Amino acid sequence: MNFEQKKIRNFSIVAHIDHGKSTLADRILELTGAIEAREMKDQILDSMDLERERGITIKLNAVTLSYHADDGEDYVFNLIDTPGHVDFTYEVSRSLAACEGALLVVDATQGVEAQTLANAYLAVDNDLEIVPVINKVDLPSANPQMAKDEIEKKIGIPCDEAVEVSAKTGLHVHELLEAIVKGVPAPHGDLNAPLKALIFDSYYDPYRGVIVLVRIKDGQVKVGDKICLMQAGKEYQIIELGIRTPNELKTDVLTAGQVGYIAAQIKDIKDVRPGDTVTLVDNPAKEALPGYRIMNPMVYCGLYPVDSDDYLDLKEALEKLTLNDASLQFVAETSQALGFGFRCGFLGLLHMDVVQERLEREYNLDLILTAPSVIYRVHMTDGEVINLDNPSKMPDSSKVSYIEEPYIKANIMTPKEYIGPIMELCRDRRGIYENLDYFDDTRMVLTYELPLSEIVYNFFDKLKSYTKGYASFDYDFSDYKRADLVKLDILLNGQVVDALSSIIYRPDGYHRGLGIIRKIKTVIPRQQFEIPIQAAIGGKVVARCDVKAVRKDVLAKCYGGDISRKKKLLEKQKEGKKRMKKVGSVEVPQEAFMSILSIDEEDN
Amino acid sequence: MNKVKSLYIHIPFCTNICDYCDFTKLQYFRNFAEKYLIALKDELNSYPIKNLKTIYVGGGTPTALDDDLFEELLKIISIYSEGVKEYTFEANPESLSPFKISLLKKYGVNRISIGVQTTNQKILDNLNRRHSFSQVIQAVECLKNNGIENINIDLILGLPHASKKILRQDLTNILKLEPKHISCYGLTIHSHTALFNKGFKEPNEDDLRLYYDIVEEILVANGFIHYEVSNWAKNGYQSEHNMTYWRNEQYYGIGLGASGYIGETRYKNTTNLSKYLARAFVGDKEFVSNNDKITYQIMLNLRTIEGLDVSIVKHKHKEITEMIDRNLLKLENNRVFPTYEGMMVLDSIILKLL
Repeated sequence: MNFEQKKIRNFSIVAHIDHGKSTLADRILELTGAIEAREMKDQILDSMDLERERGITIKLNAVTLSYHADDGEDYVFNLIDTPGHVDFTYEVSRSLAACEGALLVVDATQGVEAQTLANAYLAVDNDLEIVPVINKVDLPSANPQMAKDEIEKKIGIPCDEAVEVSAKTGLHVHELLEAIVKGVPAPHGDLNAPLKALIFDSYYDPYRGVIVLVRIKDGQVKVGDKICLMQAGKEYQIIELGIRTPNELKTDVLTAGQVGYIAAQIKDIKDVRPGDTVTLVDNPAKEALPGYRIMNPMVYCGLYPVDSDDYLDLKEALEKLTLNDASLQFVAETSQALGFGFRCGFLGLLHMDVVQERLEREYNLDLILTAPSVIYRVHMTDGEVINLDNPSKMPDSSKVSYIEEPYIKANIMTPKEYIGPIMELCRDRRGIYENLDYFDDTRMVLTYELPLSEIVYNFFDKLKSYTKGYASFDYDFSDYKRADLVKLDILLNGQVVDALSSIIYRPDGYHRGLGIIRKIKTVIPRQQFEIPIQAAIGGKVVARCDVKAVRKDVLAKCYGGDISRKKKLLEKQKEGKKRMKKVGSVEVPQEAFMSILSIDEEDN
Repeated sequence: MNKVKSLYIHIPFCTNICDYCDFTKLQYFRNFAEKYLIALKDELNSYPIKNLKTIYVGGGTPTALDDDLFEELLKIISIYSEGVKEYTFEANPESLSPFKISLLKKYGVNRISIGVQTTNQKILDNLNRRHSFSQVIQAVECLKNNGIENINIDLILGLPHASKKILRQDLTNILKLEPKHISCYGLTIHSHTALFNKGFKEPNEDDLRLYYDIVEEILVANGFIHYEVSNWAKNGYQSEHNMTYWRNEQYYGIGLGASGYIGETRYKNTTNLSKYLARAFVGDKEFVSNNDKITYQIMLNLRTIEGLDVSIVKHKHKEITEMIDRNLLKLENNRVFPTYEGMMVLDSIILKLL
């Protein structure tokens, strides 16, 4: 391949979820000959099973392609895939920083959606050239003109040259490749300047240590060079360089404008931070690249192994995940009810879900998650301010002056007939109305400020069911606001279960408490004694229900033929019991610890 | 040395199939029954059976056989029945004719277990049971006239349309017959049974417990000993054969779908009649390891008031003490055994001790 800068095109694809981003990436891979059609799994860049199953892209992925253009020249494309979900804005900004251009994909049947806007603005913020692409034009309900008008009107990007494609059938994807050659600027790094390479991703390889994915901004790097990770201040010697096509292809050198990988026997995954700059020890750059805006986790929860022997395995797995997921944070914590575990911070609920599933599937761990919490700002009477991410750690109320909680600004785009129900939902969730605008003839954009804690608790599901799935949603942190909040404790058999504590809006106290204990009642099996379940606010019990003692559990018959069957049954039950946590003398199944999240208002 | 002292023989035929039945059973056809008895004889011959203490012939309905085949069965067994202490036949009231009773007497059967289930005619009719309580009375009288006093009555608790009132009436009716032994089983509804297909549900835990409380109250007041989860007997009439199972002792299981425990093997015979008639008797086999044996010991011994040698669960001292405090277990002479309350929630006890 020819790695002259003017023949290189580095770009990402951004889109609202489900607008066909990954399918388009696959088609580009196919048409550039990176892979034969017969080798293709659907959506090859979504390498995790989880991604393919859920149809979402979580991890970004980079691939180098060669393209023989109509002008007779051979070009090198570096395609950097991005996630589409609102939780993963951070990852989008990471990949954008390694590019000069972005394909903005809009579904011709849907038009511009909330995350189309959010991602397009991110690309503009990163000074990227945007190539609009109208996808799914093969569908009978496609309206490419509407999609173009919306892009022009709402985002302000001219669409005269927008390419109308069908990623599914491959229609006009060739024209799109030509548009990339013409529309995406070539990189313009200084080949002779000291090396500056941006780390945008990394992963662990058991044989070669941490593999670092970089975009070379200036200078060049060769096998054998001594490099320095500027932020971490660590030095290594390069043992291997290469590009991914998507199969790894070793090279001796990477030069300005290129995207590739570096292997340097890096053992400690903590040394490699996405956003850090790689330079040469002998000829270092004066200053590092700007790096990334560090995204702070918004949602926290406790993660505990079901089997306490798995604690170290869980720790190791979390360390590996943070390697390429800088937004995942964790610190060790102890719960009376659950033992040793970790308090983990996530960008959002989907992120939490994904991490949980990856831990369970890829690392084969059985986990208990406590209900998610946001970070509360607790102002003490002595003027101290505590950032509280674990409700059970709430200081005694006599020492608390007031509490603030994080709010988000939510933009909800919806067909206008659902405005009523959505406003009602936002009002129920203590939302502060800000604005209502027509987006086009049929859709409106509602802007609310909402407590993040209210979003955490089944807001998405509600929004979807209220609007038959038509509303789209985007949010950004706004600020902290003072609120009448109080800690709700749950007592099992008279004992406070720290892992079940939550912080709630005081006027909702009774209903939330009752909802939670009723839910817990349904998941705790009868035991040899009656178990009172109580909800308490400030040490005062506000609601109670009981799990009755077991009355009759033994099968009446046990003669010759029943004996082996009965043993198997008991052994199965015994296995089930092993998955429960003992809180005092009460055996509590995993589901109970998530019941705070899953209660429905209808239950109250 | 042969330690197997008990023999179970299964006769899978019934003249009609009850709605709740989940046992291995077949509609009675004489032709099959003839072949079956020959195969049964072969299976018996394949084991070194001798010096038995108990024999139990169950079903199906052993008394469903025609009189000549019934006697043929008794003859086959007679080779093994000499010196046996307890020799039981299961019977349905309607097929327990005076002639059959005389045959039972002749061949040394000394215990009869009658499937009564309930004395309420409406409920019986609903279950496709073809007998009436007056037939039960006649059969019991006839047995006693033939000197067979050791009679067990089976009852099912929580049948469709059952009530506490009906249960009290059942117990009153049955006590008048002066049986030595009463078994009460909670209704279980298995898939592929008529009750399941009709959409009936098992009694809920709390209702079933109330029924057991009534049985316990009335039978204990009438001098019965509640010696196993579902079994009450007058002193000295506890079923020796069934105690074999609960003491985790070995037994032969002969016949279609029968189960046995010999040496380190628990086995279950085929439930397929063609296979059985082709002499492919054994279906599944389970090797019983030492650990398995302990598990069996715990779950079976704790079913009766003979209980379990406490040294087997000595590492569970804390759990046992806790359950003694909760009045679920008692400990006497180094044996731990369940109270009435404990018998009702025995699974929860066993799970703590496994």
